[in-house]
Amino acid sequence: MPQIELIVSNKLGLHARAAAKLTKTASQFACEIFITKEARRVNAKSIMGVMMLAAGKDTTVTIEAEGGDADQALQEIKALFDDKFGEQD
Amino acid sequence: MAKEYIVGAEDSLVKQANTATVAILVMAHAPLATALKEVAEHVFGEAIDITTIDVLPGACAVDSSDALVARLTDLDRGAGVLVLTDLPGASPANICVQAAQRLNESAIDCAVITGVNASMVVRVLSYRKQPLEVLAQQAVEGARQTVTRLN
Repeated sequence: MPQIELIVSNKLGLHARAAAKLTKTASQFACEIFITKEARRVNAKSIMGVMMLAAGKDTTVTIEAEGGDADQALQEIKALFDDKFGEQD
Repeated sequence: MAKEYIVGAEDSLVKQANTATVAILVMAHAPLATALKEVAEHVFGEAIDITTIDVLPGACAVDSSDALVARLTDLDRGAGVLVLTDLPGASPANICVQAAQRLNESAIDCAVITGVNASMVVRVLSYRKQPLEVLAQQAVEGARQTVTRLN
């Protein structure tokens, strides 16, 4: 399963609005996508699951994707993290 | 919806019914219903298509029962209506249950869930395209999962 490690770099971490953007992006793809923080692994298309990771700034998370469009999904999700979810610090 | 026009007229109607979105109504003691909608709009960063009814102190909810049935009937797009309310046994919840029964008798699916909170609203909006029964289940599970001690 293709996977990447990403660092949450926006000031507020994976808070509600950032989680909404992540799940919205993930939901555009047919593949299964999971996000893991430490021992906790959740469906990246589930907003409450993502929010309950409580991933703050500088947390490292792993994104895994399985399916035909997995690589494209990982690329889009990486871009979202790199863009700090569109937030200005 | 564009794809629906490729098929025949009868099929088209059936498919539209199957792909219709569940209507969502939040009915709670003021100002909770409106506040929960605002929370969801904050989270998603865009306008949210849910209907809210804030029941004001002193309002006799029972008197508005017929109006509620009419409102719910109007909201239905063919996929049913999910009603989220706050306190079980309180007037808003009671008239929602009565209204749902009347809707069900008119062959309109209507599920009433109590204990609405922000997590429940956010959750159902995420699963919006699911059938009513699945959405109702997600509402309950979503809310339950997030009531937890964090430290």
